Amino acid sequence: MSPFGILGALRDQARRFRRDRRSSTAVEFALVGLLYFFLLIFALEGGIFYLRITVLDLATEQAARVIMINQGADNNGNFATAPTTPTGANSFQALIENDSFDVLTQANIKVEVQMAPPVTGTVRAAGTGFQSIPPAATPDNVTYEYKPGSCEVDYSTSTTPYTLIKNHGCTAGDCTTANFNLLPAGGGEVSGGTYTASSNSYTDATYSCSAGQDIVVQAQYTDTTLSALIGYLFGPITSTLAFQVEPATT
Amino acid sequence: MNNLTFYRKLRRFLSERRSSAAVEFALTVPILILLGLGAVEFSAAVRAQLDVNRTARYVADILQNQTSVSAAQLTDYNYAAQDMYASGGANGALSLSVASINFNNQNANGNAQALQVCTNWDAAYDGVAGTYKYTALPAAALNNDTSLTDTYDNDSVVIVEARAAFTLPFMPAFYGKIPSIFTFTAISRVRPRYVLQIPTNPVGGFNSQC
Repeated sequence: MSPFGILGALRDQARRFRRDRRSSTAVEFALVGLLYFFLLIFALEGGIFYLRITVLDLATEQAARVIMINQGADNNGNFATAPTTPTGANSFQALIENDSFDVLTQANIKVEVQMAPPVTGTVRAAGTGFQSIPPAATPDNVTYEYKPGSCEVDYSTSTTPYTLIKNHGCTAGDCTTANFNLLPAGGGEVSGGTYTASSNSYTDATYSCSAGQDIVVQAQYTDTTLSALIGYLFGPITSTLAFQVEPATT
Repeated sequence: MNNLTFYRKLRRFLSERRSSAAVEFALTVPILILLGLGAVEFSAAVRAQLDVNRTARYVADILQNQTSVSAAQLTDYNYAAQDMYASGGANGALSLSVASINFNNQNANGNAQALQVCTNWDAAYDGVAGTYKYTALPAAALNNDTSLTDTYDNDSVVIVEARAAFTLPFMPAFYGKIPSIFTFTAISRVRPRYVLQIPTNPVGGFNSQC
């Protein structure tokens, strides 16, 4: 067969293919189907995205309530539960996850718990109270640990879990030492206390946690599923709470 | 182009049956897109409303735990409210009005009288750097609220009202003249927990009236 013969045959084939009306529905579905399924999944994922928003709000409230009501210490000021590792079952992230009806994954939750500098009297100076603790743009990661009774949340830069929480000198749940990740009035994060491993001791910084203390809790959830596309459009989900620690019940 | 050619072309175009599906699709696509965007807008608006509700609730919770409040404290709580509302991604400024009201069944001599509602103090903020205004809550929120009538003499209620003008994210661009700004309002009423009524630390600038 000459080259012209091959070209001619190909041209015939192409013409026949274009004019063929059979299975045109399948071809059209192949074109539209992609868009259709994208829209369908987008709608479903959009629903899940807004479910996560609602659940994060709810779970953050539930978890922050533990701090708010200053619970956890027994009548002698001792703590009922030994702290575990920051990513363990007692971490603040785990509290949020537990309250999320399995909608949120602990690894994707970032939490920032901040405490304002102490306020003297009822007249507040500028830079105290909630004014001094604007929510972080990006909350810190999984290093906060819920420790019952000790103003409840501890910031650890070490992977070694603190085991000294009972030595903080708290009386009846009104803890005078805490190790928060603090934002002072000038901005910039400092850690609130020092842990000395050799002497197994804990030294507190300037700040203390007690009833009436201003607390800001911020939780942020970043999606890693298909909803990440929607999350990309709208950004990570953030929930912020501002409240005061209530007097401990004894 | 003469008229004859034009009408002939038009007639041919109108009687053409090919690609009618494409034309129909083009007609329905804007509606589909509007429906999709509307769903997103509705969800965003619901979330903003929930954020306003929660902000009012949490500010009321802070207030009800106080034994007294100062102007500086109220300013501080306004910052907290702004933080709580803004982090949810909602747009628009949050306005916050707070007031403490009390009820009097007796006059100064201890004799019974018709229930009187008095404002101990009130304050309002418009945005983060708001200033005091003395028309914090509308009279209807104070006096005509039937939920507050079941009270005893010297009872007190703290009222927090959060308002936010929320702008739908896509509405202005796609819908033009249709109103795209909604004002969400949430009112939270709580009783003081530790005192009969929360006095002010007299810094000045509070409104007190019956």
